[in-house]
Amino acid sequence: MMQNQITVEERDIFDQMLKQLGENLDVTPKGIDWDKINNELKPIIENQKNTPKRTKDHGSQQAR
Amino acid sequence: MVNEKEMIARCLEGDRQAQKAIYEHYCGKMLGVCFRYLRTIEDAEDVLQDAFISAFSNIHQYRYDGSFEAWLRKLMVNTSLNHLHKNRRLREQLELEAVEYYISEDVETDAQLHAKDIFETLKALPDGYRTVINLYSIEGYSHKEIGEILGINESTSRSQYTRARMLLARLLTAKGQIATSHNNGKIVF
Repeated sequence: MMQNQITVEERDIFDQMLKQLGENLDVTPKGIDWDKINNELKPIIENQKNTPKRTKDHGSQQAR
Repeated sequence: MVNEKEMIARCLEGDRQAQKAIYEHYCGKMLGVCFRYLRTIEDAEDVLQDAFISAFSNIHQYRYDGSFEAWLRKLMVNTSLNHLHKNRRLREQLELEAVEYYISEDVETDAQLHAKDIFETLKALPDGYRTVINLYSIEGYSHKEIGEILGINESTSRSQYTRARMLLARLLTAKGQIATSHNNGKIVF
């Protein structure tokens, strides 16, 4: 059986430190809020709700 | 957040309260992700907005095969990279032979590096360098994967990463965050 070869690239202490810092970075948004996102999202979600979901048995098969 | 799985299920139905709860739970962390890639907070907030709209519009693509946070984070990274690509700066800078940043000094830490200084310094790097450092050191991608993501050679990713670290070392040295010693041309943080 063939084994998958995994290339491990060593991360040194600096990479590890950056990773830890990066993952914990938390910035409070000031220029945007939920209302702004919601206003843009609303028509997209409404459109998705109003679009009939496709099934496997549709379109060209029914036309035939 | 009370029950993430339930919230995601409600988002699939287009429930706005659930979307809002997810946004409020993750917005700070995800803005942190975008801000690592982009130079200004305004750009990062624009990307955050686009990425959340994309997340809620495509939440059916989340397959529960990993954490939702990881899925969201990946979306933030991809949207940030698209933003950089749109501005054409990234590609140009990745292909740049940045010999002017080369330093042949050995750099060693003699004090604790401060997180704030490192991030400020990271912000000062050209987009290409900052992107490779972010993808390799923080996101944990291999140089092969970075090559595929950015459409560059694996070796280019590797060399950009090395140069980025050298420049980072130089900038941190200038800030007095790390001490340098003349040695064999190898950088040790």
